[in-house]
Amino acid sequence: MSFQADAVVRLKKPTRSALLGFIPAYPAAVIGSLLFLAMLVLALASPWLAPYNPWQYVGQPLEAPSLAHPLGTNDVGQDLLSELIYGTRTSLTIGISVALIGTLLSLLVGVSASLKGGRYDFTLMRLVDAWLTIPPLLLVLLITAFLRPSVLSLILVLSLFSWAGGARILRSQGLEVKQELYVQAALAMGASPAHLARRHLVPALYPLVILTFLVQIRRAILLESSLAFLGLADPHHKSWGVMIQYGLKFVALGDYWLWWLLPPAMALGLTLISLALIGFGLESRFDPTLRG
Amino acid sequence: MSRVFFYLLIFIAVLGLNFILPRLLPGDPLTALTGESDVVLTPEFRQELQRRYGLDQPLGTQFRIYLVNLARGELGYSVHYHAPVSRIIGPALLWTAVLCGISFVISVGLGLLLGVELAWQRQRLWTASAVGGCLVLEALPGFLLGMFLLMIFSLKLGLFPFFGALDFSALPGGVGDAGGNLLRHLTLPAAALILGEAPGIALLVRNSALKHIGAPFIMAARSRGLGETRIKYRYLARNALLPLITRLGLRFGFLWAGALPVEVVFAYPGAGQLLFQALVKRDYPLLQGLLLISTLAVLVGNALAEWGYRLADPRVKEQG
Repeated sequence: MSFQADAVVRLKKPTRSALLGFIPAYPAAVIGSLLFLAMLVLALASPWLAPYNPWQYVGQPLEAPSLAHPLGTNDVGQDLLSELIYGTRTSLTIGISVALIGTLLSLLVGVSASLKGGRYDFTLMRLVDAWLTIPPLLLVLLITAFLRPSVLSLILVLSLFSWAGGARILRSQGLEVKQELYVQAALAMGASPAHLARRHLVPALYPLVILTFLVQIRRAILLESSLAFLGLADPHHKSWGVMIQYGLKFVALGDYWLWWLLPPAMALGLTLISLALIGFGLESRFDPTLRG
Repeated sequence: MSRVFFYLLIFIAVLGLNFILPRLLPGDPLTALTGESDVVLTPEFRQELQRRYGLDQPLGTQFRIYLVNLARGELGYSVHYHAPVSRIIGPALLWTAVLCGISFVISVGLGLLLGVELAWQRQRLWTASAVGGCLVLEALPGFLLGMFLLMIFSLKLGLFPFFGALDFSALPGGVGDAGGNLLRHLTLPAAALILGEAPGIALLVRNSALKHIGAPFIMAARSRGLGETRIKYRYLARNALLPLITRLGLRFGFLWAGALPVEVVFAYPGAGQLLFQALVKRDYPLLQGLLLISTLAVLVGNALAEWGYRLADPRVKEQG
């Protein structure tokens, strides 16, 4: 790669307004944001949007769709549409909480490793390697199977398995930012690591932090739904994964999959896709080589 | 050598987790070690198990006993299946290995070809939409893709069976054509895994190919009048391949983990399906055995990929 090309790719220090300002320029990001916003509204307003309380037995078991129950009822007579809407809440709560904790951990590890270097950096990065080697599903399955965690402890467990990838990316970009003249100047004038991190590194890493956050939401939602699908969800919570698991049990029964399996599968798919699209827009914004 | 040590450390950490989790459960750890099944243990059998796992000994001794048992290939006893775990999981792991192996090979081949093409023909309409399509597919977990395939091809169109790996009629001594039957059962689960895996590989190859496409060595190859195919595969693909190869081991591990829920979707009789049963029956030893062996498979896969990479590219040695 030529020297000039390299200079173009280097991450520019973004202004605050650039944080979400990238969205309108990328159709993918626009569609993704709208979709995600819709999901967010569903999650926040589920008590008002859902026609019934999803925990109550409001109909006969296994009713086909009707005006009273647009998606029919499940095997114990709970309204499937209400379950679907409340499932949004579970997915997004877990996804966003895990990503918040996970991204904070990534930032902490990544920035401190890039600033401190040496043995500290080496040890942390080997830990990251180890963490990334084993697919999280295998260990999370093991842990949740024994501990049967509540939603709160599930969030903690998932956060423990979500920070590593982001930490590595932030650390390597942090090392690049550290080489910039303005950071070197601050360093030469005796700025403390805390000051460097707060004033220079974290702001320069902003786009990557957002990207890490988006990826972690996606992974957390995916893991939660996989666990729920395998029967490891908190039984008190409505989850798309659980709906899919039960819907799958009744596929031999004729058309039930149309209103029992398809809607939660679509909801889960659309949420994951929306996050991927926003992330793609962000990535293209900050890495022009990917535009093709 | 240090890498082998690294993988060994990870494995020991996983062993430690496997050891400690049953002992964190409230109540008698024996419950966790034998599974919470409806089978009532006879007092003699209970004592025998207590002795075998050394549950009356201090933790350190227990861990030693645990490791010694593992080294002997004793993964515990599944009360639900009335058999040693090591004997139950063999066939299941084999089925999973078949599914993952086939899917992995096809995914890598497909992803590679597609990725190079996406970079080569950039700025065309079809590549732009294909990148979008890859992005969408990559975002979806295999079990969800499997669900959609199941709904379309099995439930709606009735083209493929919706569960199992072999029909009874095709078992040895049966009347059916075993090979064809096997393939028909394998198609949808494998397609789900491939659809989840190949797009990610394609995007990875595309991104690294895009970084090389304006490089001097490509220009030089062009100016020497080399054919397009040759430039594409001998020069571009080869360099774009490196970041992929470093991650093939990881990719295989994630494919394996992703296969577990996919197998549940299609009731394919592999490790995932057995794991699901173990979860339903709370058969902890079986669950642990399956996950432990899966982890081991992932680690060995990683180590092998790394070893192969060092053979293929001597530069890696210098970088450590």
